[in-house]
Amino acid sequence: MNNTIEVAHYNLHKYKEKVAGDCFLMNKAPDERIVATLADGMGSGVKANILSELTASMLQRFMLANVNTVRAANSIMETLPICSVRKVSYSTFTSLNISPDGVTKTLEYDNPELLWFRNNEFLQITKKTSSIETNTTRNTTLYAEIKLEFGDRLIMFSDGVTQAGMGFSATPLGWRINNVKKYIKDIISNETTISAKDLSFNIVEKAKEMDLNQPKDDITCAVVYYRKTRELMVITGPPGDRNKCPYMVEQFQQFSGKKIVSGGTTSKIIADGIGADLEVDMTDMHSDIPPRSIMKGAALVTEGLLTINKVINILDNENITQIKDIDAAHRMVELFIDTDSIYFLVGTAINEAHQNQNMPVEMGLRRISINKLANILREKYLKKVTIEYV
Amino acid sequence: MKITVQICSGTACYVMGGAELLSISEHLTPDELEQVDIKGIMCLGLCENYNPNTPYVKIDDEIIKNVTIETLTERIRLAIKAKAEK
Repeated sequence: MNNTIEVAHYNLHKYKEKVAGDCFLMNKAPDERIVATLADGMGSGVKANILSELTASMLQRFMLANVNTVRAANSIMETLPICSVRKVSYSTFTSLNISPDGVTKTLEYDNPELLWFRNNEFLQITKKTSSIETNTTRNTTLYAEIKLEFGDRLIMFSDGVTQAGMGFSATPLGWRINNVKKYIKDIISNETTISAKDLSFNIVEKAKEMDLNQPKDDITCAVVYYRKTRELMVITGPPGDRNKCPYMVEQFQQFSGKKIVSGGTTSKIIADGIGADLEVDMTDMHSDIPPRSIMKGAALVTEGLLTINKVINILDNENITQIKDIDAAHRMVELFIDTDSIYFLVGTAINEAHQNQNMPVEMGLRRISINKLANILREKYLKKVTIEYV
Repeated sequence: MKITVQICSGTACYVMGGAELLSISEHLTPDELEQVDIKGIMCLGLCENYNPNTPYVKIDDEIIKNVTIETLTERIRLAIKAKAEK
């Protein structure tokens, strides 16, 4: 499939609370559906945490099993524990069941409305209602089925967002949904391809600011960004059989996504093959790894194993949301993070010079480093990775 | 025509001292810098044996082996002098 469902969320606890009262859960079903739930438990702290976790976990189970949405909602309404203070069983929620083809089932209960954004406008979601009498009260859930198109976003948040700033003279009734929508529209029109991670972070941070940096409630926002899969190719190492050089060049030329070439000899093979200039960027000076190079058609050209070993180290150990030092390895990390599917084309030639005992750093074998990198990308960053050796 | 200095920044050269060579312009006078064109190069392709003489630098068409910042400064000065005498 050529599409990706990018989901991310960001959450802040109510000021001075150690435990979140909101809960966001996301799972991938074996049939590639993405199921996500944002639940907001009544009150705050531990009790709210239990209510929201319980609600979200149950919903996730139902949705993963593709149980009828209304039936799922009703089961939850009937089984939630009852709040001893307010005598109602209560955790609001928004739940999404998204198929890879974009068909999405939504289920909402008392959270601020789910937003659907396309082409700089919010779309109306036509919702049906379902009511159920429980022991204590009458509850109404809203459900719908919509079809996402490439570039669409779904945005959901807890009332910590819409009610942020409530009671202050500038915002006596809080931020309110229409102002939140206006804010979201402004952000997206400034940065049309903003990631789900950045958008959710942005909204929550703005809400916190409206609460004068002391959130009066748990603040959570989750964003779904339905878009074309971003593909990246990494060519590294000369082929074991030098007759395979034209094949590497051909693969480079035919690949439609972004391309990284890593390795001195490798970049020469590609540059010669496509007839491009290859120039070392002498402004890109960092002590531990060589500078990047510039070549037409490649998003990044770097030295080989030193850079790749540093990339492995960064992906494994560093906080990648706060990249400051931009050397070739960090540039490569940024490209990896921004990609969904990565195709490594790995040459198996061994440079004997790298095995020299006098080398001050241990270089190891390219194949081992690439396998390690691929495993980290798959397991820690959930990327789709394929490796071809030549 | 300026004198071309190509410093190999391939893996084997870089770890054997090539990293330092990339800062060669700090060791030359402004007059000398006027006469040379200093570039990095991804790989000169000279290290493909078990015991290479890395790092390598190419000054115009001449390959220099086991280069240090001192020998490189000296070789560039010699090249400038030779060119002036031509």
